[in-house]
Amino acid sequence: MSFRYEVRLSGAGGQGLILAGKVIAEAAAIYDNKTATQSQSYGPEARGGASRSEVIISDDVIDYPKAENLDFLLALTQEAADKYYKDLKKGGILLVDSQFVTHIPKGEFVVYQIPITETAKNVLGKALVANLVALGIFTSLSAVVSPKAIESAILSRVPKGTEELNLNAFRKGLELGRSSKSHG
Amino acid sequence: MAKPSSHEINTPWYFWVDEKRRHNLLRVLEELSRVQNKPNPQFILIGALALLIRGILQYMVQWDIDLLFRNEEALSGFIAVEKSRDARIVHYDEHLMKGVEIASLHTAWSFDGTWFNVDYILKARTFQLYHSTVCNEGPFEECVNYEGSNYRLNLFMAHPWDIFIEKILSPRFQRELESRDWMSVDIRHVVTMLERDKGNDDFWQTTQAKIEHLGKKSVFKSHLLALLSSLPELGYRSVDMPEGLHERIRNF
Repeated sequence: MSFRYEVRLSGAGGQGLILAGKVIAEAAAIYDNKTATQSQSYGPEARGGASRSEVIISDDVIDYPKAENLDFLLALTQEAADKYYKDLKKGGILLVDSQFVTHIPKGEFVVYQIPITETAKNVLGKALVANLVALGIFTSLSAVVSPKAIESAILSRVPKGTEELNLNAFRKGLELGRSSKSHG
Repeated sequence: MAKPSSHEINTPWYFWVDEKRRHNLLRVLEELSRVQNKPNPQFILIGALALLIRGILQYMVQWDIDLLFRNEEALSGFIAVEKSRDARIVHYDEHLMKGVEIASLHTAWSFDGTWFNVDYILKARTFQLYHSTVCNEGPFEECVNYEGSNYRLNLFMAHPWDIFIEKILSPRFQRELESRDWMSVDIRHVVTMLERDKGNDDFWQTTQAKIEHLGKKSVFKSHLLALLSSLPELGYRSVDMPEGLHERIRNF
């Protein structure tokens, strides 16, 4: 039986969520030999406005490309968590940035509260890589795309010379995801 | 960076598209060729895919099709026009999403069970930037034979030098530059085009004439000079620019 995994990455413009969605789709479709669709919705010029990226991953044909019954929701802002948690399916995963999402919605899903942006800023020295930290956590928690495929997709998107910082951010996220899973 | 197995130089542009979605992309482009008004197009293919088709970008990512429309009426007409029966089109957005400078409607098109994103875009004062060049140049034409199927492409497509200008002038480019965003797709495309044409006098003369015509000289100069001085920070340490280029841009 084929599987279908629906992901929504949500937050504000300028947080790199569209790119993160593309990386997940590229990892799945190009490097993990699955099928994937990726869509985006954002106020094109509104830094700080709402931003949303959706990815559907399957091992078969994707009959309908819109995400409606989420397996995984990343919310980097309180507004995004409040707006989208109802779209999570029973048993789905809600990952929130604990620095910005303090009121956790209630529902039949598993919640992970992790300091994503703080880790990017304090541990890696650049808040800009928060999306890569989030990608690492997503990869650990969902286990739907291989870490190797995500790393390949990241490397195809970054200039030479920035690989180390980008991969460090992703690997830090992987670690955070693994330790949260084992303590969860 | 992911590469197809054959040598880069001989690689047809569509080999840089995920293998499972190549037929769908070619079919979508063929359909767009069919419904595009000629010789006076209601939309122009812009963005990264235009650079890919012209052989300027050569790497494998999830490409999107960006269509820039003349105005809202042209967009409505395009949505209403009858498409091939085997086309499935899903609108991701419920309606045209309007910002201050740009409006967009994100869609996905399918002919074979795979999906390709097609973004419909309206940008104030931008259509004219591309329009005069594409009308002089005529539509891009190619007959692609891929795995036994023939696809006839006949499509008005943006000139790379106009794409270069539009990207540099955009507020998004400025924001990504200011935040030193080395994963910026726009910065990557601009740097690729700079590397390719930096020594080409015709490129600089045409660019200068166009930005003067647009009345955007100071914004263009400031964004481009800021990019050149930030290249190492953005990860493009190995990109060498010709001596005197800064001066040339300052004197635009």
